[in-house]
Amino acid sequence: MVHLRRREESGLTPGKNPPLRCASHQYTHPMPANADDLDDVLERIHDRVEERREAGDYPPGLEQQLDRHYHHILKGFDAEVEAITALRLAVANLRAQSEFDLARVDTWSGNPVKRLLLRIVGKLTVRQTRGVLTQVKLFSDALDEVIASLVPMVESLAGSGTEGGGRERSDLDKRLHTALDRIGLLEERLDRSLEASDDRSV
Amino acid sequence: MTEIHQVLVGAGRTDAITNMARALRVALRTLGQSEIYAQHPAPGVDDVLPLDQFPREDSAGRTIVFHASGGDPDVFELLDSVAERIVLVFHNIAPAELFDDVDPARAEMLRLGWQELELLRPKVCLAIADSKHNAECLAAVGYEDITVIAAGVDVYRLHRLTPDPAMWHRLGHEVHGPLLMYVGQSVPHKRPEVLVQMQYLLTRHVGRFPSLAMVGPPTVPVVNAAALEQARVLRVPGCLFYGQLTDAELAAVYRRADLFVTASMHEGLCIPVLEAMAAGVPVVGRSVGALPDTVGDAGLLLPADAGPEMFAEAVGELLDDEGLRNRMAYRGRQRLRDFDEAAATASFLEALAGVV
Repeated sequence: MVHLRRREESGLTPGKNPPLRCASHQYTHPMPANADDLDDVLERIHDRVEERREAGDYPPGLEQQLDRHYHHILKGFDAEVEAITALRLAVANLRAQSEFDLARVDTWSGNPVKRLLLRIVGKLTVRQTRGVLTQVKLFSDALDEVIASLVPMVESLAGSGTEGGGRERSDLDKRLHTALDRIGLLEERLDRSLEASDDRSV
Repeated sequence: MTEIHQVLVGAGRTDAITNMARALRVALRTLGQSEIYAQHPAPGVDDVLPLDQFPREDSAGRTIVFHASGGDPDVFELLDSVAERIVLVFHNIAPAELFDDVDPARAEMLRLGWQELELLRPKVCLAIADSKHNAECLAAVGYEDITVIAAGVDVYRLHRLTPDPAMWHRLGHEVHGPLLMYVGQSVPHKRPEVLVQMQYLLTRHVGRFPSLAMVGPPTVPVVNAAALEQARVLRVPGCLFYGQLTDAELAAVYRRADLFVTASMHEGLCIPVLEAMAAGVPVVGRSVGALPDTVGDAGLLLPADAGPEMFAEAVGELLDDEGLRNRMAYRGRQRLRDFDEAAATASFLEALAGVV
């Protein structure tokens, strides 16, 4: 037989099957009567696979090895997608934090004297604080632009690994780490600027 | 006035189920009012109405033809809430467990699809399956008296088209030696990686150097991407991942192809196999699902558990035997008579007349 039917896969036993009503024009000759040549071919294929296995052309466990390799890649892709999703979330979080405003500067204290003092200092240094905020805002906008261009680059670098663009994975890793290093440097500069602005406002 | 509307989960420009519904709509409109509604019509599909436009007001004489191919809560809610009779056309639903690791949301929808089939059973006045295998699957969830009507497909649709000249030119540059082709969505059960591994064995172990064209939409992108990555890492020559092509481009690939190869583990019908037979391209696949019913003796069907070693040998065998390839191509065209669109529509209307 050419066709190895597996009715048992459907979970049905032949006796329990409900009747199937077939339209008149079809399945009048469901199985071929002239497939002997294919039977012979199948037999030859079986034999040749065995021969190659015996001759060592197909080493033992080759198919399993290839399958494991594929699933290893598949798992790697999942991790990659997760990393990119985490990056997107981090960028969204960073953007949410970049709304700079005087109203966000905390001047409250439990001590009424300190509270009054903080308000007075705040009023006296409002020009300086606004100046710092403007600079930080400019820096933040520039940083946002850099990140906006880096994120698709990171995504496409990860993607080009999956698309088989010809680059080696190690090369992609290096580029990704370079991009992340740059983001880290920019974040450090932003932190330093914010600290400086805090010092000045106090 | 007779109203017979068709409901689909998704609809596409060239999608096989949508095309079947379109052919049926022409016939149904001779009987009365008939529209196609889909929950997820693809952009540019303007002959299919969105499901939220379905007329929900009570209409005693209305019948819904539901093409079941997956789960969707909104579609189920509509089918469950309206009072119309339902004619179920079952195109099969992919096995959910194979999607669990790569696309859990889709896996959930597929499970839902099977549950919905069971829940809809009391409202279904006529159950139609487009292959014997699909009828068996439907019977397994409690349906009885299932009518098997072969899918009405315009199988020569691509054959009539002029192949896209740019694609033809591209194939001329990229294809070296015989061309093996595969068409199908990138979903886990289609097992595209087995074909990549087959190509690896052919080129590294068997000493043959065909090209392998992989065509189809990236339904679960990671599946195709991982197969492509394996081809890259193993440096498999001749793997051409074309993604989704236009009909004219696809016609060019069929025209150039020597063999159609699929390692799919589950098929409810497999339209690309019919298209290959229409193009005179012999088919190699696994004896699973509806494939034996679809290809008959026009294809070389390997055991269900055949791996890349067996696929590689099968391809080698057929590439060496032009006479056998010609015989298979001839049988393929004979076989296509069973999938005649007009005959299928006539059978459908005959079955419908018994319940409407």
